[in-house]
Amino acid sequence: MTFFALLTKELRLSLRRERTVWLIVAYILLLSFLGGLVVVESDVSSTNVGTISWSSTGIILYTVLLLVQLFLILFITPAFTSTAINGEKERQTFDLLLCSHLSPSTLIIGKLIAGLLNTLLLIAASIPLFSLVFFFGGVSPVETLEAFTIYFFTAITISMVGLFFSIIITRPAISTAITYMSVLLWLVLPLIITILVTVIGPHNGISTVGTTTGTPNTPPPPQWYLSGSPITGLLSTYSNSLWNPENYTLGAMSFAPWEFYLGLCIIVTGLLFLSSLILLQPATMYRSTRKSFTTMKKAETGATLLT
Amino acid sequence: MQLERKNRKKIDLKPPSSWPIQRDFIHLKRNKGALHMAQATSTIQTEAPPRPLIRIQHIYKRYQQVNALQDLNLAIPRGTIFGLIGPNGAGKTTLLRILAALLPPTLGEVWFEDQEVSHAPTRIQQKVGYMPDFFGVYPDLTAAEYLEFYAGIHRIPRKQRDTIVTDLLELVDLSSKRDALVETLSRGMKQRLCLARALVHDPEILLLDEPASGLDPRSRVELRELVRTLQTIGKTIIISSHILLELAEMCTDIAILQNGQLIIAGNVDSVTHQLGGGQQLEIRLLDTTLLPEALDLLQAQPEIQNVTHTTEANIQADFLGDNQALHNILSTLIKRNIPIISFAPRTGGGRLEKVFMHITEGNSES
Repeated sequence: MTFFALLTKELRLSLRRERTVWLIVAYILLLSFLGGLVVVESDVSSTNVGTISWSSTGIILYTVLLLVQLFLILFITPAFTSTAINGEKERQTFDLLLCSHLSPSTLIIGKLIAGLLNTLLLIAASIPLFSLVFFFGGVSPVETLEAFTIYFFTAITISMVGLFFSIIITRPAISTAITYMSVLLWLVLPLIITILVTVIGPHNGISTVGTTTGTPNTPPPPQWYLSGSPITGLLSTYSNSLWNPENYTLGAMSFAPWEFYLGLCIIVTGLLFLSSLILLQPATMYRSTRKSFTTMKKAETGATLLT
Repeated sequence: MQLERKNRKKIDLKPPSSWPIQRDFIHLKRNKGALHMAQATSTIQTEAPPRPLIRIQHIYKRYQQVNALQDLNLAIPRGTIFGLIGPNGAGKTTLLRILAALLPPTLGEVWFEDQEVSHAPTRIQQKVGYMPDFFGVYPDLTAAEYLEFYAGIHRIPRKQRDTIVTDLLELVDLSSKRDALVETLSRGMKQRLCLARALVHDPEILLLDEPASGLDPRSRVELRELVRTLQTIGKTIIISSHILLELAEMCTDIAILQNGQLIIAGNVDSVTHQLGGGQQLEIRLLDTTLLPEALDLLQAQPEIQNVTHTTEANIQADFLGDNQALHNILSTLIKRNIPIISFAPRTGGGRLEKVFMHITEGNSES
């Protein structure tokens, strides 16, 4: 009950703002413009109907839409949650929320879902555009579904990162900036690691002085860390993409790179959720204050005030 | 007024067990700006005074190098309007936040009957309606949506929410603003809306931090009426304020804080007496020719000081005695055949203010 009350309030607040409507409009216009540009620039003519050219146009269109939408999600989603908790504190309504039946878990989930729904609204608004890809061919509906699953989990993870920083950082502007920096880091860190491993790793033939450890016939092991990036995670969802690595094996199980990415998202989200939960527990607040006072008194006077 | 207060203390109104029951129990109506309680059962208490509702024991609160509260001990009886008075930085807001279980004390205990706050902060928060010294509103919600949201997060069933919101808006005289966005409300309206919000879950205890700050005189009077009505229906109300006149007229008990320490606490009259503030005695004579005789008689009384007369028929004096002494003075005047139209001892905010200024002299910025 408290959850729905919170969710209703959050949605009322967000959907009443004019910027929400304009954001959706701008989002769709941008996607449409870029999609249209791809179609116009590609080599599609009436004489090539049903040929490879059409499907390759479909794949290019799909790749462009996928990546543009991913970047939009990556840089729009933090705005919805990175001020969720410290915004309440700044608005001086946080104390009032604490004085209710609203549990920390409900508060986090409510805020998370409210932020997430805004992103899902954008994703849902883009579905008609994606359906155009099927007109050209080259991508199966299952692959599209996998890509949207990646979007969904990426949005959850970013929302949770934003929410976490809004709990630990008092000022909304700073928490927003740090969330964006984290997203950027998430985007580029796997790529940096890959470059570093490629340069100094055992398979490049230069990491070990005097000899080459990697034999030319041995393929390099799967670069699982590369799948940590949302870009590579997304590109691995369809067969005709720019990046199609082998599946990773863990014991008897085999994971597709995008499944590995989803697992990583779930773990990060779970850890951040638990950390946020602990930080918002009233009992934590009481315990930490008492401990600090005990330490303070002992350090100051050596008196056994509490014992 | 003094007698009124004493009588009021003897009345122990049955507190409502839950909001829906309370709604049947009391039916508040607004009639020409004044609130009236249509139904309220009350019983005259004959047994010994009950245990305090809230007990604050050796509370310390320290913010880095600043001691906001130091060894504070206080007992707040049930059903009182308890005023917290003190200059800026005295620790009033800190104390209210500790009582609302929003801020843990650095040391010490706060008991709500048999429950210690740090052991069950969440449970205590259900008993408390907290109104901070800021609005804490969502500007893009309407007044009704705002209350509905708080009703929801206090787990009030959906079916009852609308009725409760309607009643609360009526109680705080905001029915006409039901669908107005909160941002369009005036300061006084927002303050009343916040009070309604604090009442949404029918709390036993109301904590009001500077509720009248920034309000115009009319809004203040309305707020005062509202607070009194809430006391009548069994709420225990703790108010912090700088406006001493208002607290003196509204509160049954007060505590004066300074530099995080309790200076004194108790019934308004007794506190004023203990601090030497006494009462102001106002006497109006029918026959002005007997004014000199009346002045002589009053000046001869050991409990009377600073006898003055504002007009030919009006006498004012500081009275430092008890009720018996007051009775004796009145009897003496009557025995001397001095015709009196009115004989009014007043504790009043003026007296309290005098006491407060005296004890906090030179420390207002600390």
